[in-house]
Amino acid sequence: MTENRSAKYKFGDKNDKEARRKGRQEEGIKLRKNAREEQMLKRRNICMDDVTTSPLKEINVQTRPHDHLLSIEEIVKGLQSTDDNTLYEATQGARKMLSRERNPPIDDIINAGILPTLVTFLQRDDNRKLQFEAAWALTNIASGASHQTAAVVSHGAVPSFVRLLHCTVPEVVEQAVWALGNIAGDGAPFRDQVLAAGVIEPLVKIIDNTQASVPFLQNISWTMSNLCRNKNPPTALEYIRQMLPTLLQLLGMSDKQIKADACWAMSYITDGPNERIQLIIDSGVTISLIEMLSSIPDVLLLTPVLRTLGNIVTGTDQQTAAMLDQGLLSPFQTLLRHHKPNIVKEASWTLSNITAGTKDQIEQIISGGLLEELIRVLENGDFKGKKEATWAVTNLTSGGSALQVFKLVELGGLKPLCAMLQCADGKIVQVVLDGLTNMLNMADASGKTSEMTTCIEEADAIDMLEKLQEHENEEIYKAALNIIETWFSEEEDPQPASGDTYSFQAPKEQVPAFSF
Amino acid sequence: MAAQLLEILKKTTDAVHCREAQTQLEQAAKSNLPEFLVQLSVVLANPQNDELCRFQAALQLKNHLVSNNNQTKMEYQQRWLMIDKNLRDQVKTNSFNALGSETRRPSSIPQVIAAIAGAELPHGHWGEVIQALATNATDEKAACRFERTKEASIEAIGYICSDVKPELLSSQSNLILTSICSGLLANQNQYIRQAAITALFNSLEFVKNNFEVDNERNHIMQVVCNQTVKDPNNSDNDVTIRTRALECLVKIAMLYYEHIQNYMQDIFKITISSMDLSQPEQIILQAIEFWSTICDEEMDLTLEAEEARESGQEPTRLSQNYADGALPHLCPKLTVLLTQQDDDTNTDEWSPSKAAGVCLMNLANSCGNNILPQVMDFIGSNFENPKWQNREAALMCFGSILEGPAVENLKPAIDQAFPIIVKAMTDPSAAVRDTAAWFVGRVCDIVPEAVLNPKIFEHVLQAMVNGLGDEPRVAQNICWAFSSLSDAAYDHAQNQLGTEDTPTTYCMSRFFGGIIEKLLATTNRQDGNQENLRNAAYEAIMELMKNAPDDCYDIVLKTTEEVMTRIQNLFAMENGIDSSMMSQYHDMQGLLCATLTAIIRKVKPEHMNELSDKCMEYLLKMLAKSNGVGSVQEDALGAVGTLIEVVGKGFEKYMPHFKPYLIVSLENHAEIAVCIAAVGVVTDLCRAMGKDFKNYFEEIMTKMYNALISASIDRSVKPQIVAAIGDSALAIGPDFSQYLAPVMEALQQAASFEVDANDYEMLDYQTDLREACLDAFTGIIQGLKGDDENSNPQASQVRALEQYLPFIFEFLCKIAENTDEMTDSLLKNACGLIGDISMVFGSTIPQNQLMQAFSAQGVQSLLQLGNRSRVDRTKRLAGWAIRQIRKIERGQA
Repeated sequence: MTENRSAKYKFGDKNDKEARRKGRQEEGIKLRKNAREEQMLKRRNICMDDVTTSPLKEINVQTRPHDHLLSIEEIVKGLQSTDDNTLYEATQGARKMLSRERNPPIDDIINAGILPTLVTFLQRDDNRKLQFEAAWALTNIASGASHQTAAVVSHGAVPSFVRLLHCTVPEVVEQAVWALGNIAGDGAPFRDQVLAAGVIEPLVKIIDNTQASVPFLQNISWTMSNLCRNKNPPTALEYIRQMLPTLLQLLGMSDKQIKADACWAMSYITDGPNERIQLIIDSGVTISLIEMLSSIPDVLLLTPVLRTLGNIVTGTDQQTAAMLDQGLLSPFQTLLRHHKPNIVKEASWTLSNITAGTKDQIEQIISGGLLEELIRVLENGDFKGKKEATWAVTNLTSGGSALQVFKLVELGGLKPLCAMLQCADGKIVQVVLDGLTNMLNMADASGKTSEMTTCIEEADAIDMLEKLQEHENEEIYKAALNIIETWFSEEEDPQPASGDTYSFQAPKEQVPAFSF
Repeated sequence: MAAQLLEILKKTTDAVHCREAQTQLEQAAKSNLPEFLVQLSVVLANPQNDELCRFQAALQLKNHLVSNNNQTKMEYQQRWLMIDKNLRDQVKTNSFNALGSETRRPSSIPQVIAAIAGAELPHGHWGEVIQALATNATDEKAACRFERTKEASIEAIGYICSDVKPELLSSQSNLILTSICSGLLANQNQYIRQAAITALFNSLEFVKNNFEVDNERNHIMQVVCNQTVKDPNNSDNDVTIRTRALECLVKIAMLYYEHIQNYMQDIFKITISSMDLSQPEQIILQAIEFWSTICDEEMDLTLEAEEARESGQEPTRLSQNYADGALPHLCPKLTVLLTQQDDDTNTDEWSPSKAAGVCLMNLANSCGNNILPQVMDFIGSNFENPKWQNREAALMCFGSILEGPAVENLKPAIDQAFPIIVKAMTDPSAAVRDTAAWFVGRVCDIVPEAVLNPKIFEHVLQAMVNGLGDEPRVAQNICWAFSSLSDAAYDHAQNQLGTEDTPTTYCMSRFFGGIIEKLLATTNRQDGNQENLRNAAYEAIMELMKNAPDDCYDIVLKTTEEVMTRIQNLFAMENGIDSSMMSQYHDMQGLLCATLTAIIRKVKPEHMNELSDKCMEYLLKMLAKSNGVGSVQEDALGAVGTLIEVVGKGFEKYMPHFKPYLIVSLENHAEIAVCIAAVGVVTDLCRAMGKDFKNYFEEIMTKMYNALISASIDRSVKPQIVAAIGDSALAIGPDFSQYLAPVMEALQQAASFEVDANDYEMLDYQTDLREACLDAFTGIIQGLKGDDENSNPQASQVRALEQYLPFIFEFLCKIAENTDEMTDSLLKNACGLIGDISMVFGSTIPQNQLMQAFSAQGVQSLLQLGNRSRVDRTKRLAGWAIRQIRKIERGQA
């Protein structure tokens, strides 16, 4: 013990010769890695130091071995010039600095006050090279933290970028799409500014143009998904209506990344009021989404598809029923056994929305053999999966018939459900307590109280419930207490929970007495 | 027989016959061990025998059952188990019955019992011993003899608990705890309680089940806490018991953090009152240790919670922020303790005042900004206190809390304090100067902008240079401060210029020469081996060299000469070194090589030409004279590698002399650092020599291959070897094809390596290995293709690789699947490899076949991820690869 503490006293750790030597070894490895990388770039004919194009554009190789990077001062000075060449070099200097791997000095560039100048360069249709460099530099700034994105927007870059979407030079358009995607992705306010600037119409046009390359379309699909993203408020309905046909078009493309981003857009749209869900149902896309659930093996695409359908069944009973009629449940046997825990979680969540529905809908889950699967997740899943399965099962106890609830007990659902009482997540503990209360009430009403209490006792729940009476969360302790008192009372004398956080009291000088 | 043995044992206690007796005992053991052991137990069992003889008998018995060497211990235990059961039972019964018959302390028989139990319990024998000891321990008879038996039995339980694996005892934890707790009752004598609290300390790991049960845990905690209290009726030994009880609390906090909530209010009172100056030192130390441990746990829990949240999960355990709650009460206690330094000299002895400093460090790390209001008053009001203890404590306190709070909250206070700190560096008290120097180093490390402040920079620098002439401990701290400062100053200059290239100048340029001179002089100080000063000074020189801007280049060159002279002098000294100085001599060799490396890395090729012959001569000599000392070889190889980088092809002429050392080092599987250094040199050679590496390829590759497939070698070298294989393939070009089959066999194995997803350390290794495999595949593909403009892509050499492409694609997809472990450099390498494949095989493999491979989901998501990477390089490599594939798609390849 003393040894590892004394390493921290003064520079005890630096005096460790072995550690210093290890440091030298690691440095050697790092330097060699860099050298290897440089050598490879040469072989591949890629020159990183001086490339005048965006990452998406063809590279014209011009080897200039070691060119000088400009300092911020030089950039600021260069940008005051009247000579286009100097302006270009300064702008490029800024872009290079912002493209640096290690801590690009975004804030320094913003503080240098050159953003307004860079934004005006977006208007320079007469000098595409300059325009392009400026667009690239601004894109890199916009992809930073929120306040950095805000700096770009505050200088009026959004309308200029939207204007560039009409430009005839493909790489400039690509860069503008990229920038706008980043800005829109920052949050609802900027997203709405981008939308209001008229981004949709040119984007739609580009997609209709069959010339667009796959990576470009991937970019557009991603940008469009950002245009649908974020709540408070969600994207205005009229914009969604405008984009929907294009999103369906993107969803129909063969490239999976394009599909996936379009699908994420769908999931954002359905994560909202029921009228939006209806919009998606009416579009007729759900049949193919459901089809995708059983036909596509890769998680990249599966996740947004499942999320979208899961969102839809949070809607009205009719909307949920429509999905069930289209055969939503049939792939779920497989999904609940998926090798990715995340998919299992999403699938359980989807089912939890259905078990919150009508008795008929619950019956479909039971007859489809999915209740067993949910219990299996509850028992063996990873924690996130268990949580969703807990919700699914508990929802069933509140909306299900007595028969359906007894089915849950019969299938062995009680024990894993009660085991969740031990988890650290207070919300889940509350959910389980609600579920148990529902089940006991239900059993009471059917005259089967003692059967149910026996089952709960056999699930070892009593100890856990008693433990919960010491829980710091008042509602939990009350609910646990209530269950014990109402159904299992043998004149327990519960101790009220102690105070909330730790504020220690200074000891009196005398020896304390202990009483536990 | 017993009488004879007794005689011999008696002789072991007098100096004259001791050796003779030992030999006789050894012979007896050799001729008939079982009988010998039985006889020893007979001697032991008879209380009429002389006590010292019985003690010797116990010692003999024990030493035939245990050893400090694990291997030997296992052999002894096996040997014991081979002995006839009847005889073993005799030994056991005799020893057991003798428990409590000793009057000496510490007693020896409990150790014999534990030694036998240690051999028998793992094999399912003597299970009843715990029950028997427990019966003794809980026996209520109060006669003196019984008291000793009780004490000895509990002692034996304690020894057993510390020796035997927890899982063997957890089923008997109830029995063990009952005995221990009965030993801790207030009416037991101090020896029994002492034995019991020690046993409890040793048993804490395996009483997990008891800790889960509320009333059992309550009971244990109550018993432990009661022992922390001073017994008004009891005497001196009380401190041992109280210290042990506090140690138990520390261990409980570490093992069962989530269970201590209900007791924290009481533990808090106990620990706070234990930090009082009136308390004995050991008590104070353990009370501080408790809170340092709480900080450790809470920092871990906070990290865990962050990680869980990042991956969208609920943390399973939460920090209760006890440290935060206790801050206002702890800080005043700790700062008082800080002022209780022993005296004005430096000792290694751990003391409450040092422990208090480290505890404050932990509290600052764990509570961040919250610590500032608790300590700033103390710091401010003691900086210029007439007592040196208070001045030192103020500096210590300030230096300790630098790492937790936000920089913007600290910087004003540091700015304000700096003039005082500079003054403190010339304080009459060496302890104050020492801590002031350390403080400056801490600021350079943690808040460099505060030192680089132009208003004070020169003053601080001047004070630092002066400090190099101070006592070794002060000078050593200054050296570390210089290391950090040069790093910070260099970074600052780069950031100002917005470049990663070498800056033309920086704020230390004007002083650079003077500092180097002073540091060189420091390494030569007569007292340089004290306080690690020489090492620290060389390390500082290395850092300054590494971080030298252009306008300090002349001094770098000048330093080269000095270092060479020193190496020469070192060789001249060699014969006069006596063995006691050898390790210092090897340290010097290593340090000079490492310094040379730092310098060579900076030297421009045109200057290196003049230097390289001499450098190489010295380095070869160094390798020749390394006497198998790994650290020297490692540092010498490091210097050779750097030299190769600078002189390039010109290194060829040294190869005949150097190669033997390289080969031996590649075969040095025992000292992995040497092997890794040698592999690094191979990489450098490949890059420097290109095609000419062919002459050495086969020999070197054989050695690397052997290391790669070895099951016993430390695995950390394997990623380095895999990557170096890529380098060598790239170097020798199409000729590599003749080695393709065995190499690909090994690489496929490396690429297929998979670990348990919960083993974080191994996951990092897996990522390293995968990254290296991608490097290797890239090197091989690019190498086989050849680098001539007119190389023929249809050549059979490249096409030989085609059969491995399905595996490579599978490997890429496996990487893509594991998004949690995706690092940017893995992504970068993957995108590069995809581009290489399309570039090389675009014209040899039918378009539809190739496109099918590229459209695999894994490949596509790697490219997409790469294209969205924030790292420019990765983004561009992905873009390049995408375009290469597009060319194939359009039939332009």
